[in-house]
Amino acid sequence: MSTFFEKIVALLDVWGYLLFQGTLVTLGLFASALALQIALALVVGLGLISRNKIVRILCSTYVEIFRGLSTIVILFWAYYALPFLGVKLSAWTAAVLGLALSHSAYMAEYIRSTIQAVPKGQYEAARVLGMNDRQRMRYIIFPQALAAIMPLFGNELVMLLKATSYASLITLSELTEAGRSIVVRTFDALPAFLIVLTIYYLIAQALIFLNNLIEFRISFWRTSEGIDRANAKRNSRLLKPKNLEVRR
Amino acid sequence: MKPWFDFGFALEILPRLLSATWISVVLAVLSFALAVMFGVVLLLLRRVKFRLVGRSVGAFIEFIRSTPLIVQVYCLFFVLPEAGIILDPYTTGVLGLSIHYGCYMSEVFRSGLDSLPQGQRDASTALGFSARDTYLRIIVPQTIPRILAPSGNFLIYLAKSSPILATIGVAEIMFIAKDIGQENFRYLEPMTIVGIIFLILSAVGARCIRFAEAAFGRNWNQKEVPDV
Amino acid sequence: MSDKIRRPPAVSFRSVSKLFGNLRVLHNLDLDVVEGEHISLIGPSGSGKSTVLRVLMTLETIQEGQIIVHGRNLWDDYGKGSVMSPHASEIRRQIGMVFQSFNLFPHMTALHNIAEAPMRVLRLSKDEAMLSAEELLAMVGLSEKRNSYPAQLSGGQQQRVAIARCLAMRPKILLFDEVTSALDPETVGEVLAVIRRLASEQDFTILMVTHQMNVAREISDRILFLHGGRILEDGPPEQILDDPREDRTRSFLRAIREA
Repeated sequence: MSTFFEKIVALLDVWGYLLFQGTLVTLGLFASALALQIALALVVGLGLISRNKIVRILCSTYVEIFRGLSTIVILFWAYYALPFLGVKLSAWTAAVLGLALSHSAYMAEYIRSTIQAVPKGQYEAARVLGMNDRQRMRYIIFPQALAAIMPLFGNELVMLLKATSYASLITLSELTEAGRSIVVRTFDALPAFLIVLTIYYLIAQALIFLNNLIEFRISFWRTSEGIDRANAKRNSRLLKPKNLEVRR
Repeated sequence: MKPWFDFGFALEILPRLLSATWISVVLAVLSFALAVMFGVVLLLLRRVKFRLVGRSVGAFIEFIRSTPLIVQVYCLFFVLPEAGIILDPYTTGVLGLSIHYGCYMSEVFRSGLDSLPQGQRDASTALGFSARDTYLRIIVPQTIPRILAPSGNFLIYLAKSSPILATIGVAEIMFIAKDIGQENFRYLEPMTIVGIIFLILSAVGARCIRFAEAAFGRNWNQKEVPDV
Repeated sequence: MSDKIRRPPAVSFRSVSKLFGNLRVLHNLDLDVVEGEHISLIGPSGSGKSTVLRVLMTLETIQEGQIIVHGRNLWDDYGKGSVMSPHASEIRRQIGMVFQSFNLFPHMTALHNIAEAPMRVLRLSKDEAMLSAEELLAMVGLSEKRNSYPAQLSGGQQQRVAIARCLAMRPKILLFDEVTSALDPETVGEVLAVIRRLASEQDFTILMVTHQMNVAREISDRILFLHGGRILEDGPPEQILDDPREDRTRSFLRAIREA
């Protein structure tokens, strides 16, 4: 066991810089894709519940397409196929765009469902107090939807982190690629991959921790009815017999 | 270089891509079956009386779910031969997918079981059911409809993650598409066809899930108008 | 009623204590229920009423004390009450429980719900079990709903099926845990009618947790007022409901009436 530990230390000593660079690229990719993804998801998510039927259809087509395609296919297409249509993207740009587009579809759905889960009574109360639609959305509905989306968001963060590893398939030198290149140069795969996996794991834990912090801080924005309704979908549908609904 | 889609070329390469699709699908179904089995094993291990076992299994599941599939597959691909286990890329790929998604499956099963109201277990105890009967006749039949949708979704994710295995040499659809691209110096058509195939697979898969849900849960969840 | 007092105790609680973590829900509870007696338990929420039923039905463990049913220990002496005695499954078969949330099996028809336990536990043949299920269903007045699933029944109908299901195991002791609390007011009556009939026509030992004081008065031989995990007052309905001795009993009853 001690030699194993020594191996790991030696590895870090020799190849540490490579891993460090790879981690930086991964983090940069993650942050850029996340920012773009959130922006896109907001637009599309709100579009899904728009009063305009055309907007709704466009947005749900967007969601259908990008959820139907896997992230990898989108990345490959952006990097390999797009040049043939005249648009040549660097690996980095293709990766950021691909990840953002693909994951924004999922997030748009979350946004839609959390907004729709806000109890209708809230809309009515806001209207009765004289707020117009924009005020109501901004001060009443959105905060509650935001509080509801945090658990889903936490999951999505880890998903995106793992998805950054796909960029290694389109020649981006992020962490996974760093690990792979170390392994083909040394002939000791296990310590190297364990280090890489642990780095991912630690980043994921940090993300979850941060997310939980925020989730806790804004949890009081939700009404108990909103929490019950959100949990009712997660828990059994067969709670009180009075609340039985027809299955889709 | 033609600045548009070459339909002739696309038609040419279609057969090859379609047969590769079949390989991807078989791969996915096989891996899914193993993942389900692995998931059940993990679930049972978690409930073992020995606390340490349950905790370690839980930690393992968390670790696998928080780390990328590619790295896990690479790990198996490079590490197993060093340990003396020589497997072909296909088997390695199936193994990697099964372990990764098996961890997800065990979580799906676990939350499916947990979402069953405690009252069902109470009623079974009150009526004197044995543990075996409680599970077989009451708990499991009610859990299956709950886990159908998430499980089906994971099957679809699994199918769409087969391109990862292309890097370790499995001749699935993306591998073939890249191959075609390299041979002919044209990537647009093969990649687009792959995209369309994936879209079709997703749509078909989603339809199948809805069908399965309806078949399993329709009877006892439909509420007719009660005559009071 | 005096002849009931001379019968041997069916159920005895001896110094029973139950903790949920640090919260003591039952406090050295002593209780004797005679064979054929009808007891109602009333009290504010959190007073431990449902817990009394649940530990009797072995749905929860006890930390101290002993429960004795028909002369036999329900809990093991060695495990300090946390392990059930070997008799437990036999004893359980003599006790039946009806729940506030009915807990019908949603994937079975009403008839099947009633027949399932006799088939699995009593090992009756399917025909026998279905036959007696038909009888019980008729007894609660729901024969025409035999092939309906719980989702298609109203709350009151579901609860009546739940009662029939409980009776299918031929218990001697019936536990009713707030069985009308989850029902719409219109359907409460049909369930109470069934309970009244059970109380008057047959020789069950009944323990009932309820908020319905009128029913308690009608069918109980004794009413127990619980507070903070202890029995504060214990007496016949006329005494407890009309002229309670304890202040807390008084204020509780007043609060209920004002609701």
